[in-house]
Amino acid sequence: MRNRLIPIAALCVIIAVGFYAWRSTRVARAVAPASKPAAAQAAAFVPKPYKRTRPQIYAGTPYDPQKKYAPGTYTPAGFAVDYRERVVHEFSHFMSTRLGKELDDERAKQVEAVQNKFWDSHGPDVDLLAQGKITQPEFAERSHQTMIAFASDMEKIFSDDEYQKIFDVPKGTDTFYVLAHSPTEQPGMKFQPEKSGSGPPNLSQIPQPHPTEASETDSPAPPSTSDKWPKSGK
Amino acid sequence: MMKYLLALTMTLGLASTADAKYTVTRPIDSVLGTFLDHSYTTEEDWSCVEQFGGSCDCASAGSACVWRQHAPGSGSCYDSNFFYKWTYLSQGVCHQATNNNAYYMGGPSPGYLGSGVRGMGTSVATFGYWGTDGGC
Repeated sequence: MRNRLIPIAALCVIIAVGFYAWRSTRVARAVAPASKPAAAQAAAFVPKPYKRTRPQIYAGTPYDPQKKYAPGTYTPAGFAVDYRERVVHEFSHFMSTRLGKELDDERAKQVEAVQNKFWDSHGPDVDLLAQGKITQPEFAERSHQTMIAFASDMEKIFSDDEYQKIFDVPKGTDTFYVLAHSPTEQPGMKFQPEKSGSGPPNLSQIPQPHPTEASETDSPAPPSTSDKWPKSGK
Repeated sequence: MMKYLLALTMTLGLASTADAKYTVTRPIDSVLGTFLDHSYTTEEDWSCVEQFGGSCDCASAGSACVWRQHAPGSGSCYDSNFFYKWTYLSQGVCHQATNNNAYYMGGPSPGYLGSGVRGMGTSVATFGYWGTDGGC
């Protein structure tokens, strides 16, 4: 009799455990939908394409790069009258695309302040170069210092992960020498139009079709830590 | 009627690709590595329309050198004539020059290269998508 009871008890235990597991799964499934859509919604955030509007060139009294002006006002010759607002709005759109969300208002204002600070410093240098009052190498060095300050200010606003997502490099990286990456692509150099018939294209490698914008946006960022990055402020 | 519409659509489609231009991005091969992207615009035969520094080819870039197709554009706004007044790091860098081409050529792009181009965070933060001047 006892020998028959043991298998029956074991079967009961197995059935009980099975029933419990089944119930747990049902509960989990019932709870899951409440959190899943929120996560999916965040991942699916894609800002609308940015629509360009036609800017007007600033036609007021020319700014004197030797004088001091109120922050957020200096406009170099030939620039759009609202170039600062445009840069702010366009970068805001870019950031939301990279971060997958809109930046909160407080930090958005901090970003705008950093951008204005950059142009308060860089704007007069643009005019000084155009007027021949500083040389191209001087302009390049000034631009380098302004960019270092710009990056340093941005670093204070974003987390390490956010900074990497937006700028493609870890905090502390000086990208100046990469942006100015060729002898003809140095700060202060004029655009060189291509001359027609300037030689056949180098077809040793043909570009590949670009993947969809969605997959581009999801492409993995560069590694976040590495000794190869140059450090700013040196 | 549907046949005519289909034929018209196909004709227009073929015509638009026949004179297509391309914006191209590729990693900048610097001594520090390849962590930012250079951009330029080419004709259909891959010859340069604009480059604003750097070279206008994919040498050593491999499959990371990618093109986006655009319409042929109209007028002179999409070509290098537009940029003869530009100074590097005053009006923008290569990203802004190429974005202008994407904008004025038209086509499937929204008028800029997209958010995936590496290094565009810094260039857009300082010069916007299309540079700081008044456009074409």
